[in-house]
Amino acid sequence: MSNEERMLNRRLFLRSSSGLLVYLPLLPSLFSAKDALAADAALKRLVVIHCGHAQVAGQWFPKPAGFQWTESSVTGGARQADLSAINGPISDILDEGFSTLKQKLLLLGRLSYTSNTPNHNAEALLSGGIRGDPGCENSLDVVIARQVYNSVPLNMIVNSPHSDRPDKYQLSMQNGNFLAGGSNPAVVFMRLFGNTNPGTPGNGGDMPAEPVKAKLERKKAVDHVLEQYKALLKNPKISSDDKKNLLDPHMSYLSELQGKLMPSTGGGGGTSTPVQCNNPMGPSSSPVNTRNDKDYEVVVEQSFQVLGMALKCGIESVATLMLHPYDYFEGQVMGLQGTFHESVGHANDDFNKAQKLKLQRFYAGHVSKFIADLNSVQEGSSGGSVLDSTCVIWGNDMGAAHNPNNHARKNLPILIAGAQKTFKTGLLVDFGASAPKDKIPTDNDELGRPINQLHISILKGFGVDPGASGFGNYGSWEKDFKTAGVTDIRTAGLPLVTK
Amino acid sequence: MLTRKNSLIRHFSVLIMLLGLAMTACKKGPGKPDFDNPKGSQSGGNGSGGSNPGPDDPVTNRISGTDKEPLKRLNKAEYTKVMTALFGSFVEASTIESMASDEIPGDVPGEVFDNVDQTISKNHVLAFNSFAEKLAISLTDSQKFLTAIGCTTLDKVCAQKYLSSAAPRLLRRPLTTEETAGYQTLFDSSGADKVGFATMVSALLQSPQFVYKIEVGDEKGDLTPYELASRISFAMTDRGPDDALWKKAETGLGGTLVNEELERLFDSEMAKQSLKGFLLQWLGQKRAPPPGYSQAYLEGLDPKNLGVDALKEIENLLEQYVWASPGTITDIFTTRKAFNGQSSLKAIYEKDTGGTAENLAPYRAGVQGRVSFLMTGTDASHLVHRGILVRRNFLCDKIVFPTIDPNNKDEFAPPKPDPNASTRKQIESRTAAPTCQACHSRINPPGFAFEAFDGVGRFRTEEKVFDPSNGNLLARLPVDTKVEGGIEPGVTSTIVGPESIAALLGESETVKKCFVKRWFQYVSRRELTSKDSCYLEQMDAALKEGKSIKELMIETLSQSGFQKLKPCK
Repeated sequence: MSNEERMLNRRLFLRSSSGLLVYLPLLPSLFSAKDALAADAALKRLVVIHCGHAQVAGQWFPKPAGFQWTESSVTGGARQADLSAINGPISDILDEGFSTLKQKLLLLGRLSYTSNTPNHNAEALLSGGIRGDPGCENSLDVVIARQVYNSVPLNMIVNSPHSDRPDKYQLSMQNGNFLAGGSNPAVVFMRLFGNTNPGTPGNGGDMPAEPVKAKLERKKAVDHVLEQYKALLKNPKISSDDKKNLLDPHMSYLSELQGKLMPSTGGGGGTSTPVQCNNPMGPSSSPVNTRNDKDYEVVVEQSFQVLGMALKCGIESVATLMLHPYDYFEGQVMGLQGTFHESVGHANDDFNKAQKLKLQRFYAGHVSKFIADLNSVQEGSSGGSVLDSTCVIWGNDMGAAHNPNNHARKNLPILIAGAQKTFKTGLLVDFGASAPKDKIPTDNDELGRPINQLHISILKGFGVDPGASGFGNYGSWEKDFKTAGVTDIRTAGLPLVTK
Repeated sequence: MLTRKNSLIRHFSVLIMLLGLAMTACKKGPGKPDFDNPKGSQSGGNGSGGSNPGPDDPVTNRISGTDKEPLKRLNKAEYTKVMTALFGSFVEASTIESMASDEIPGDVPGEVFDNVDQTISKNHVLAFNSFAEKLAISLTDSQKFLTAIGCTTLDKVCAQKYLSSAAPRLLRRPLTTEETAGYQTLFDSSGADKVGFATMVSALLQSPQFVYKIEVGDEKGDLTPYELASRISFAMTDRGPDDALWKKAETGLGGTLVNEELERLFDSEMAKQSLKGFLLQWLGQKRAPPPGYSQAYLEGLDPKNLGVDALKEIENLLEQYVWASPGTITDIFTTRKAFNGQSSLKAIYEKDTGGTAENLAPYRAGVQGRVSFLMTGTDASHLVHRGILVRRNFLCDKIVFPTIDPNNKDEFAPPKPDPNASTRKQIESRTAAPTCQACHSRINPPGFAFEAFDGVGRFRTEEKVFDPSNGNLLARLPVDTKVEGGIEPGVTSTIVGPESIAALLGESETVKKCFVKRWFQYVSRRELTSKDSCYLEQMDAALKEGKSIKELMIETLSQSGFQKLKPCK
């Protein structure tokens, strides 16, 4: 069967659908379609960047000598410090690249899962627990994409030259199953923007037969559908019972959807950094599945590039980027020695701590560049940047354990960027109550706050009701949070930092 | 998403609810009968079970007070089959099925059938929107799709061609001039290209004409040929008309053409799949919970394949008596043939289960004597549940679910293992009060008769009572299956075990009338009301002629009632 004749299977079906939900005009109308879905919400975009393992919390948080804590009276205990009070880089990992963005950053300590289930925990960052736990069926990105945009998130995974488990431990879950991610940046780029370089289809092997280059007029379709229902409502041959019980509620739900699809009323606007969204520049091929170790760095670079373009051009609003699949390299990738998971991730000797730091600083360089890029683009006439209405999360599923072998579920390192109407930024907040003031929040003894509360804040930022039962998994540790005085974990957002 | 697990849980919940009915009647006075009672009798005797439609149900009946046929939303199964039939040549059927499974909300099952839920929710609308967009986008990227609709590019000419030739199959009727112009405008304003085409298709797939089955009739008040074709096709196949039926609709469907199409469709593979769905639900075959027997209760029996093998037997039985060698209702309830050869059923039937001879024991006669009907999934026989299945599914008694008092749940709980009291004795004791007997005088007799079988479906003369905490055998209690009375109005007899039930069901006029009613209800996709009764009465003659199940099913659809837009009364 030729490419043109082949049947569309589930993978192509999903990819095509995502790829066709593309909006290609130049700014300022870039955000008029998908972004307009959340026109009234404080948040319009969610991006989650993730690396499991290789956690070096001691160098993630600031050195205690560089700032002063202010104790908070919030239930359960917390303390905070202004990031601006920290001279120079925030920490060894959050280096110079973040310094100019301190007022738009929120660094959180002692957020924990509610589940004590040991696992590699890649899913817990966005669901509060482990896949298979009750309540853990859908991750935050999937829920927001569905509830706000009636769509699916863009999930990307950095594949490595030597990876044999590219889809293992993805962040996103739907109905309890991991969602596979796009692991070839060039293929993802062409799926989103179309083949801007004919004849160079990339080497991913999972290209659609013909890259889709289109912009589905979602609102126009729904407008048209709604008119059909209105016409039917006038039909005297339709019973009043049917009008009341079926057509009226159907139209109400359609109107609600239509409202989310309304074009942005901001109009005008502009950008401080021009973005070329029509025939944009992007990777025409990606060096995945090669034996060239240096290619890993290229794939990371390209992944951030594609992700940034998708967000700035309004093609995607909810996305995840997973920076490691598992044992993604061995040998001399970035000059590191040994296998990522077994040798580096689980090691705790000075040599491998230095290797982890090198790796995290490599990621940090890309993250800060990515955030700064979003901050450089003005959003419509709002006066704010794209970053301001985007919630960027950079996290690691491994808590701040002294022993990297224990797969700690407590005290996750979380950096929030943007989300200016949702969070109070420019802060370092430690939700621990008992730590001495001269200690950074790297001990593994205190639960602090459930990460679910961060999810609840974000859901509310998108205008999504987390519901009476909160969001995500509430496992065996819920009672421990309550014992510590945190009793509102299923209903309230994260205290102290939520606007 | 409605998962298999959820479905089982839901079915199990229904079972628990039914068990709870053991005490329902006790909460009602004798002046509040639970069943349809066309004669208005409020006695608790055996003589008032009726096959006529009961009073309008205020919850499910939306036809009440109007002569208009209600709109019917495509249920999940229909939506999936419709999409697969229309687009399965361009997008893999398994992809459509899995997408529908993930996205389209499940339907709330009715008392007997799972296709009567007509509610609309926000999740339905969002799912229809999402599914339509994804499918429209994928189609426009499919060369096979372009070829099929006779286009080389998705331009204006192609859009016009699509609206005139292919879109009518989506809406199950030709588009009006205004509709065509509207979709053409949508195509033009959305880029008049691939994007415009996808937008247009997305709108078509979300339109009320697609999502709902709309029947407004012609100027004479009759169903249009397209509406009739659609009604027939959904009744038989759970999807819209196929090519052959569509062509006949285009030339004006009616008269003998309808019967020809009914005959043709009935024997088609796509109809078999759907019709078996009806027959299995009528026979209560999809309500079984997952096996949860204790090892002590199993006594060495391996239950691993039992459920699958048991269901396969009933499917084979139906294949035989409905299609291969059309039989009657009597055959279904009295046959002693086994229908699943090399299966785990041999250990229970103690006979070769693959032969064609009527060689099973008399107590195995009919579907109601088979493991699939009898297995409960627990260490209990579910006496009340079995009785209710007979009364509700086969005799069309209307049974109202109880409102269980949360402070008094034990009163509705299934009987507990008691070395001093058999299940029958416990139920007799619980339902002895006159108020209880208003209902249980009907439910209990068939339930008592089926006490000849344990929870696995094994024949027994003794009820073994095990200690649930350690599996120790506590007692062997004699099973009493004898019941004085009958199961339908005006027919009294002494029931002695399941073979008596087989004989009574097999010869019962009420059962035959009920079968037609259940079939009419199934194809109507709604609960029936008194306004449907005159159409059902038109089937009386056919019933008296002893026609086969196949003939009855086809005749129910070919007789004038099914093909009319308005109720006869």
